[in-house]
Amino acid sequence: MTVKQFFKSTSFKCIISLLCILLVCGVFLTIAYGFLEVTDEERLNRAISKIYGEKVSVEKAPYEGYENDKAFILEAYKDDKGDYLVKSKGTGGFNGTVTCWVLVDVEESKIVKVSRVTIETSDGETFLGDIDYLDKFPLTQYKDGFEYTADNGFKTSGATKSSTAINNAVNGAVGLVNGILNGGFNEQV
Amino acid sequence: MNKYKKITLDGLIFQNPTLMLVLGTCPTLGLMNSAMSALGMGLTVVVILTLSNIIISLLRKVIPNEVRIPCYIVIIATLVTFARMFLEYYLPDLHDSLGGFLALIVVNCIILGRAEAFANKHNPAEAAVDGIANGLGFTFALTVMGIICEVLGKGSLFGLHLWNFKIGMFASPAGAFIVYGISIAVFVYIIDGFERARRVKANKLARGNLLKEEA
Repeated sequence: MTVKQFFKSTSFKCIISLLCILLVCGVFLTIAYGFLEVTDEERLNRAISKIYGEKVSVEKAPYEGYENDKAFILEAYKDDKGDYLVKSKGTGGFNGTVTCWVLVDVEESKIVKVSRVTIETSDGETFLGDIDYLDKFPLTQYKDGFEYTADNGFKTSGATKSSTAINNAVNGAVGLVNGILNGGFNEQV
Repeated sequence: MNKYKKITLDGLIFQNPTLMLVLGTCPTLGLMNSAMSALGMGLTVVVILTLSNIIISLLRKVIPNEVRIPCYIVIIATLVTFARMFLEYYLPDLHDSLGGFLALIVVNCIILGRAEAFANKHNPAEAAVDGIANGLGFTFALTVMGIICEVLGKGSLFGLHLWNFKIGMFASPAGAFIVYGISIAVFVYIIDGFERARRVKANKLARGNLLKEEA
């Protein structure tokens, strides 16, 4: 096939058509992205507003990664009241994962309770996806007067297997905050 | 029958993509545990399906036959990406509730199916009507099944708490599968009843005409 034949061939038309469509779509999406971009900071502010129900200023908590075989901490923040907001991913139960925001209330450098647990995503067979606030969820621990120990972890009453992932996520968050408050991370959660 | 009326009725009822053609099963089963997510997904599909049908219909004489499927995929993927950006910016809660299923609209067989079967053979106006009708047919089916699953599985309707009675299975894809199967059976039974009644009426009319001619 000569060069002239190639330029007149169906193959060339196909390549040009596809490239033109790709170019137009690419330009369109680039322009749209310029107008509709949502930054990480904006996402964080939205998540915080959803959890607190109002705008609250937070600062990144001083930690450098924390994980065990049951939970993985994705983000941690300290709000202006001194409470900690932790994004934690828990595993276990029916082999799914639950990523949730856990609000750990702190008074006088001591954990007093977990006031809110908001599920962000749940992947796999966790059978958990609609828990929002702690007062809607039957808890046996983390009430006023709670004292953190490795054995006194977050535990739900009922649905024990399907709640394993969320228990682990919350315990991971509490373990992290406990570690921060005591100047070192507690690996036992 | 008016051409547009036929396209509309086909998309909504007689060739309903979800209940008659059993297309788009993946998002159907995944999002049926919440009526609001189902409605949101359905309306998103209406917009994407209508726009993709119009664009593909406009370009049907330009796109070579040999590369039509890759071209359709690029167009649909662009629209889906735009829809994702739009929802994340303006409706973040809906964006979060749809999760990965939003991106999966790219490979939704309803959209690609209508592009291949209808939009590339008809003018933009007909393609637009077909897109709206099929999208609304999908939305109707998904929302009705979403309502059933949410009421049974969570004891709520569009997020509003109704009662404490709930059967957890209906909030999972397994329960959704059962509701989907029963919905198809009921829908097909109703449509079949209409078709039978229409055939009987047509036969009676034909017999009457024949008797008149003989007389």
